[in-house]
Amino acid sequence: MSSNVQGDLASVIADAVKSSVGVTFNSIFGEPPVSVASEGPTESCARVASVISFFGTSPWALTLVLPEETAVKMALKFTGFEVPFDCADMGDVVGELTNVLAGEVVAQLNRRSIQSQMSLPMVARGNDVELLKPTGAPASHLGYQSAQGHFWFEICTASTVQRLCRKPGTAA
Amino acid sequence: MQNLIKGQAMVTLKALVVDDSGVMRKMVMKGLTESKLVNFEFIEAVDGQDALTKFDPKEIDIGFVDWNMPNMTGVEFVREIRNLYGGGVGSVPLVMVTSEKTMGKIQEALDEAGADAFICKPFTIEELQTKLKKTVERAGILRLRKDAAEKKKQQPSGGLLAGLFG
Repeated sequence: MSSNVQGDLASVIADAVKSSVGVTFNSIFGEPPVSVASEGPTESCARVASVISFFGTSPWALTLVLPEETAVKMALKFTGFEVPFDCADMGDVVGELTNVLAGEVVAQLNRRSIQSQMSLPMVARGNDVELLKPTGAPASHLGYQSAQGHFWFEICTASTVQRLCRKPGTAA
Repeated sequence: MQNLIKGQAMVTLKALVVDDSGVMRKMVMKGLTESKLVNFEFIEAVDGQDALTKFDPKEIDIGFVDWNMPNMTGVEFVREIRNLYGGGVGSVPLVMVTSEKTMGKIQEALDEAGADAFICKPFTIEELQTKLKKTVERAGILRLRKDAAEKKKQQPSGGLLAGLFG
């Protein structure tokens, strides 16, 4: 896949994610979040990150990152019951939130003739958690502010030969 | 709570809730309870394989099944149940509750695998009430029939001895 096509695909994916964030968050939280320009996190804090990989026309990955305060407030609004940041249920909540969003992204890409299948979510929690991306893979950062607090997405696209994950038993 | 099946006492349905996320299982159970369609009694399963071991068509009245799960997906579970016990109007209704929402996936679940209804996450109580009314109603009728058949089985048979002591 040429870098131009790859670049176009990355922008189509980013558009689908932005649109899906509006639709999904509006339906769960009652209002869409506001997009904020930021280069990424500046302060060190406890976070929870959920990653979903997509396979199909091109492999790519979406990571949702929630600082502790946002995660707790979103979990309460999403589930209707309190979920402490350190409990196992928090992983489930953020994984499910990403899963619901990913379903909408897949549907939107499908309407644009881009076939995608999503993986199960993988969740990590800790201080300053970040997704490691393949060197040189196009990546973008989408920051948002909502009534529950600020949060952001990392989108990482890669060509089919550039794989987002290392195959077991091969060199990194 | 409304009575979905006219002329009958309130039915309690035994619902199998299949999702690898414990939180999502809680949310589905909470939503169904709050929908007040009928009384529900819940049995939980963590994936398709776990659900297969817990599925007894005499016991379970309705199933709510997530799609994306490890070990055995929801749609594989539905296919397996329909292969084992058959489909059609007399079969236990199975409802997909999933974040998948493309037409292809909906068709695969309903037309090919044999699911009876499709609920997209996130759902509201109102959506559960409207989209599940008929399916829950069918599950209720099947439960009443199962109970009646069971009662009949337990009654003494109307044979020669019944005539003698009748």
